[in-house]
This record gives sequence, structure tokens and C-alpha cells, in this order.
Amino acid sequence: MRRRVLTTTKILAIAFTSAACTKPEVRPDLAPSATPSSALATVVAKDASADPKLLALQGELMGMPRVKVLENVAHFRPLCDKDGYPLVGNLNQKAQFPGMEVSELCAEVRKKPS
Amino acid sequence: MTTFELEAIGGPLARRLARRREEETFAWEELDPLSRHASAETARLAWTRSAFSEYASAAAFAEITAGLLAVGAPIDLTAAAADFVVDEVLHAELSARIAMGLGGAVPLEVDLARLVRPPSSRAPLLSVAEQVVRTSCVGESLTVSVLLEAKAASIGVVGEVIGRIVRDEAEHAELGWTFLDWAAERLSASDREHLARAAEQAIASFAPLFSAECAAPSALGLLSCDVFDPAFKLALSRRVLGPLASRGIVVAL
Repeated sequence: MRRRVLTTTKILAIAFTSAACTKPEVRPDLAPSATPSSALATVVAKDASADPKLLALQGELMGMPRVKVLENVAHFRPLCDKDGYPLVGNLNQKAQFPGMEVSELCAEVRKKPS
Repeated sequence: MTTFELEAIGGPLARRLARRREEETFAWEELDPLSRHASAETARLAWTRSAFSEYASAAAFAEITAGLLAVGAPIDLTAAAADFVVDEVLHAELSARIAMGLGGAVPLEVDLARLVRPPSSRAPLLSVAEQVVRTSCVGESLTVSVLLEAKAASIGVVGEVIGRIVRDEAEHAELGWTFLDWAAERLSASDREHLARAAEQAIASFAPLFSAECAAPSALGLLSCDVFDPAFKLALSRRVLGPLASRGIVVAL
């Protein structure tokens, strides 16, 4: 019997926006972005007037394979206890700043040479 | 560690899962303009974390189901726990859809081999009781109250999804109390003491929620600190500590 080749569809996928590095305020000229595939382009649009070095870096990221992009994106953490187990239940609705994770990511991005 | 993403095969398997919400139609297209909302970035993090929390809850109920089978629990109780696994998977999907609608997930680093804290007791009944107390009596009970607040503060499809999730979570919490009432005759005083420590540990683990700086609330499912904190404390008292104490499980905080 021939083995089936199953393909899967991502229902939760990372948006390669590094958008945490963009300013929190929303500009009215943003292009709509509801899908991850267009998210990176949106970031470029968001940062059209940003630091040229940052813009160059984003262009560099656009040409990278997915795995390389992931290597270049700082990771966030789920809400966990001291031993790393997820908190029981779902209490993620508190509007908390991502905190240092964002700052660290931005610092790393800006350190990159153009 | 791995970056948290979700995927589906589709076809008959996806239709089987979709039957869980076939009576509901969510207007996902409403998320498109919301993705440009000032708090979309914070919301994407919250909803990615939410998808993972629901995923971890599915694992917790899978372990509870196995534990209930191991102690010969009433079959309808066991079937409910098994059913809740699917509920939680569906909640993970719904949370994922919101995150995707807001522009995509954030890269969340997770350890899929450590989804559920193992029970400290090896005795079959006490072991499953510990899991039930942590997951249903503490986690799900607190979740219900917080999600009710979040639903009231959210707009459109975001509020509808939260409403859908909270409807199930109330049943998930109730399983804990039903289990404890069924097991009451089988639990000794020292067992109850053990369960009180397990509940304390679970409650204490929420401390980091109260140390971070709060961002602005939004209609994207996020609550401000001045809404979240009192709702959490009230739920802790009324929905967790009180019902536990009435069953002889006295938590000292």
C-alpha cells in the first residue's frame, strides 16, 4: 500500500514582523495586514521613515529563509511558574507590557551592522 | 525548547473538530482593521500566550482523564474530562485565529515536554486529585472570572470568542468540585492537607502576574490592572478558597 503524503496547514504561525521594535503608536498610513504572509511587508511600511540601518536590516530579513529569520527573532515566554511549567488556566488577559523582551530585541536589532 | 505554532491536517479531521463550533459563525474579517489598533502588538502576545495556555490545559485534562480511569472514577466524570481535552484544543484554535487575525503569532518559546507539572503524590487517587485541584479548582475557576471581565470589555468577534471559551471553562471548573465530592469518602485528613499545599503552590505561581507594569487596556481582550487585579482576588476568594475550604481543604496564603 502506497504511503500517503500528508500536508498540514499552519493555523498559528509566527509573523516575522519584529514589530515589537516599531513604535507602539499606529500610523494612519499603514497598509492593512491580516495575514502573516503580508506582515513583514507591513513592517517595512510601518518603518518607512525609520532608521535606515533598521530598514536595511528588515530588507535583509526578508531575503532570509524562515529558519534563519527565526534565529534572528527574540523569543517571548509563556506565563510559567518558577520551574517552567505553564500557569494553570488561562490568565493571559492582563494588559502587560512585554517588558524587557521587547527592549532586548530592539537593542539586538539596532546593534546589527547595516 | 521550541517555537510555538499550531498546524492541522484538514479534511475529515478538521471537520470533526469544527463540529464543536458549527452552530457558531465568527466574523474573523472584523480582525483586519483591529490589527492596526494601537494595542494590537500587546494583544498578539496575549493571544499567542492564550493559545499556548489552552494547549497546556488540553494536556492537563488528558492526564486527568488517564488518572480518573486509573482509579475507576464514574464513567461520566471521566468522559467529561476526556471531552474537555477537545474543548481546550478548540480554544487553542480560536485563540490562534485571533492572534493570526491581528497579524500573526509572536515567537513564543515553549517546552512541550513540560506542559503539566507532575503530581508529587504517587498514590493513584491523590495523584489525580492533585491534578484536578490545580487544573479545575484553581486554574479554571480563576479563568472563568477573568474571562467574564475580558468578554465584557471586548468588542465584536474578540468578545464572542471569549464568550465561547468561558462557556466551556465554567464546566471545566465544575468538574473539580464534582470530583472532590465523589472522592470525599476516600480522601483522608492528610490527603486534604496535601491538596491544600498543591492549591497553595498553584496560586503562588500567579505572583508574576502582579509584578509587571500594566499597559493600557484594549477592546482586543486585554484588561487593565485595575480591572484584572480585583477580579482575580475576588475569584480567588469566592470561587477557589471558599469552595475548597467547604470541602476540608484549607489553603493558607
